Amino acid sequence: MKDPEEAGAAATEYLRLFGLVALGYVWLRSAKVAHTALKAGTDERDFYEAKLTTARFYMERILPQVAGLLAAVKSGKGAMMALDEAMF
Amino acid sequence: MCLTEAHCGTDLGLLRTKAVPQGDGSYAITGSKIFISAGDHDLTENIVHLVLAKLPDAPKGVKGISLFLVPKFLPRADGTPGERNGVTCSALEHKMGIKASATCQMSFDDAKGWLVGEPHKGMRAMFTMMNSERLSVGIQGLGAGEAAYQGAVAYAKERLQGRSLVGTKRPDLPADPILVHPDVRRMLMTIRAYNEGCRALGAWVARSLDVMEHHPDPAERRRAEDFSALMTPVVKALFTDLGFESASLGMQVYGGHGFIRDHGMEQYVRDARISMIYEGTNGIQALDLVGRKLPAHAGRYLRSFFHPSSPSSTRPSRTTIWRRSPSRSPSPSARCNSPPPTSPRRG
Repeated sequence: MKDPEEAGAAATEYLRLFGLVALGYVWLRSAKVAHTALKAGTDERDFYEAKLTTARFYMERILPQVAGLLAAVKSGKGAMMALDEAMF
Repeated sequence: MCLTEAHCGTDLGLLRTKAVPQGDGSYAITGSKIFISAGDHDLTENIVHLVLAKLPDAPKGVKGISLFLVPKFLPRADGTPGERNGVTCSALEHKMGIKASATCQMSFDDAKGWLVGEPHKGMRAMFTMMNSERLSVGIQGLGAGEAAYQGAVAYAKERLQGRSLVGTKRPDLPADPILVHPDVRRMLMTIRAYNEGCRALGAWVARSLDVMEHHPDPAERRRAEDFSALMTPVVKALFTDLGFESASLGMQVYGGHGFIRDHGMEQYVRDARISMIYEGTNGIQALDLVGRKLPAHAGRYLRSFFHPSSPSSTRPSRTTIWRRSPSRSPSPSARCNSPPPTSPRRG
């Protein structure tokens, strides 16, 4: 690893980004199950429709946070680590 | 589990608790530990402490840590609890939350203990337990989120304040239930999206733990182990961060009443907060993900997530059936005896 401080600086935002993507993936799988059940006919229409609506909320309102997190991660350790100890 | 000392939690290489061999296979353990959950209580007939300590000839740092079993009552010949051992609760921690948990400062004064595993390999042994603990703590976060959602929804349906922005919904009532307001919907939908997503992700990882234990194909078992190792820091840190956010959002739905103890919402916030800190702070989970799990074996763990090559490994289909292999023990205790999926944490 060229600069371990870069990894350290990126880590927390990277984990959140990874986690949001992982949630996006399982939300997609959940939505697929719900969609399939609704198409096939089910006694639990309300449950599956609520699942699709919640999945859409996740994709539209929460997942887009990854763009901001990626920008933060890519900005590098610079300003985070640059301040002289005496200035704290 | 007795790891933390006043001067070291994350950096256990600094610990000072000592273990001196007594010549009869036992050791005299001396030192002080803090933040010990259920360190002392009268709910059971004995308490078995697992204590990290250093032998006299120990190398410096984490490589010098050994694991010892130190019971509150020493066993009689027939195995029943007998004489009181030199391990005592010296003080109670006064905490923000989880107040029903007996969190103790523990004093070890030449307490009799026995080595667990090999000398200087204590971290490796402790990590077998800590890996499953990290997943459990993640589920604590999810639990906080679920409790917050249930409390918030009940209130949002009953509390009457203001009228819907698009026209009165309940003209029969003095005001509309606050569920009509976009801001309240935003908070409830956010908690709901977090909870249901985390529940699905947690179930996926949980299933992977079963595959890791029981699948007859060693390649499948290794892929599942890779996936579990990769996802453990994510489950721990993500679910607890989101659980705390959800607890706070749930409290917000209650307005001023959320701040009042009687309604219970503020307790979820106070109780959820520690889950972001213990079992390895979320900052440490992030370093584990980026510093250890991503580069491990030239990115092999990552491939279990992004490029699962077998349809039955990380993306199980309903038609996948396998029988428990007779050569592998299914019991949880057996997993504690096998090497942990991750290498020991460096201090």
